[in-house]
Amino acid sequence: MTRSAEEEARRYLRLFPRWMREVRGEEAIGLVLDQLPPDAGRLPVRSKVDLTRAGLHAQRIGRPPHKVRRTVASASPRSRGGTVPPEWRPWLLDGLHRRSFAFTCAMTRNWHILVLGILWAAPYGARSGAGWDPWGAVLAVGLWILTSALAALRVQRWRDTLSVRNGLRPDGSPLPLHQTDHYWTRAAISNVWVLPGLMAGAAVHAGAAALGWPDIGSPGNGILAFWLVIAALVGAWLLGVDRLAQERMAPAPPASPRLLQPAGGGWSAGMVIGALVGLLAAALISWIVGVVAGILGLATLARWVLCASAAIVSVRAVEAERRQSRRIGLWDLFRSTGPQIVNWPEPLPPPPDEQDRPALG
Amino acid sequence: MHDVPVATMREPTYLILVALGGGERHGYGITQDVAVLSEGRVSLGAGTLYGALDRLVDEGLVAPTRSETVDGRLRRYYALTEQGGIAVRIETRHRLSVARTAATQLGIAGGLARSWA
Repeated sequence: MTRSAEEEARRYLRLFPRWMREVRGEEAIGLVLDQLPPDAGRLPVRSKVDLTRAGLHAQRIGRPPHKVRRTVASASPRSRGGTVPPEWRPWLLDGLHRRSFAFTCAMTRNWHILVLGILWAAPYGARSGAGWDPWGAVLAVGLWILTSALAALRVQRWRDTLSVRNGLRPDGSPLPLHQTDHYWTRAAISNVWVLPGLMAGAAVHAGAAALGWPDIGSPGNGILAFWLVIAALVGAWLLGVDRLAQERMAPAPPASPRLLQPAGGGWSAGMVIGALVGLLAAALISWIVGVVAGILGLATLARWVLCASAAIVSVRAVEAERRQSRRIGLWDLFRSTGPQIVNWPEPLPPPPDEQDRPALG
Repeated sequence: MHDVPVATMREPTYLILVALGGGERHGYGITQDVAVLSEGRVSLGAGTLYGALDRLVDEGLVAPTRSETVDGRLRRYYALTEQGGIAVRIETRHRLSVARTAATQLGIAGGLARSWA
């Protein structure tokens, strides 16, 4: 065989995930070359097809489920995320020190910027009569990419967090299991922005109409507002389910010194539901207004009720956060979408001294 | 004891495990053995072999034992784990049972099917 056959094999090997290339790449190349007839100058078609098929298959099965990607993306020193099942640790290790991986994780983490940007763009588009502001959407996408790129430039803490939570030292060597468990930090729920964001978006819709932007009362915008709220509700619910899946995936933290009950309660949940129902009603009434103009006053009233509800719920959330000395999220208010009890393990201990570390097995 | 879905073990996987049942092998050795075992029907490429080996290592059925460099090429040897040995025996017994029943039902080779028992 010649050098070109080896180069060709190496080219096809790029189809495999990088971690797999590093683990098995050299021996796979060796086998490909062993299988060649002595005088072969190029790879036979059969080998090319085999490498292509196996590489694409490895890429497909080498991609972790959504909950694993989400927990990696959302890991921070203040949250509990970031621990991945052992079978996905090679994938994590492969990406951990790549800037592009940090960027895509930051994009996943910052998806709310995109959603909220588009939600906010809607009423401005409605005001201008366009129904939808394409420049607002472009701005939202631009902001999303920009903030993700900036986040990807400052990733050292994120990497360190992921390292220790997956039983790895920052240099990639494994930590003893008994130390890994103690690297949990406090249980903070990072989706705190969902509720104020949702309420603020709703308030803008309501406020814009109440302050006399006539176009928002048109049938088209009423339907748009209706579907935006439905989308936001579904998104918030999915977020809660996703976070719950991440919690279940993570190993149990060490014995917790204290258990915290959810911060919210029936009253807060009732306010949120009331606010959302109010928004739905406002949107539906807006839709009707196009037909029955006499209901305009009622629609305005519903929107003011909605504004007041949003303000009260936001104040309640902040109050509860201060009282409990922790961040709260939507699932504190919607109990069915999140864990009932939040564990709060001890704070991050100082790293053990080198001489205290047991020898690695 | 093991959680290998032996009933759904695919042909290449089974042949790889059988090949390793004869002792530790490197990748090329496994492909050669598989070709012999299957009478030339199954010819494993590098991509297929290492994809399967990677999965089998993850499942704990196969483990790398040692590596060496021959003519500048890395060769890693693999062997069955205890769990892998159990899995391949169960699969073999299952396949034998199916083959015996099939041979009896189809009247293949007269009493041969009974003589295997």
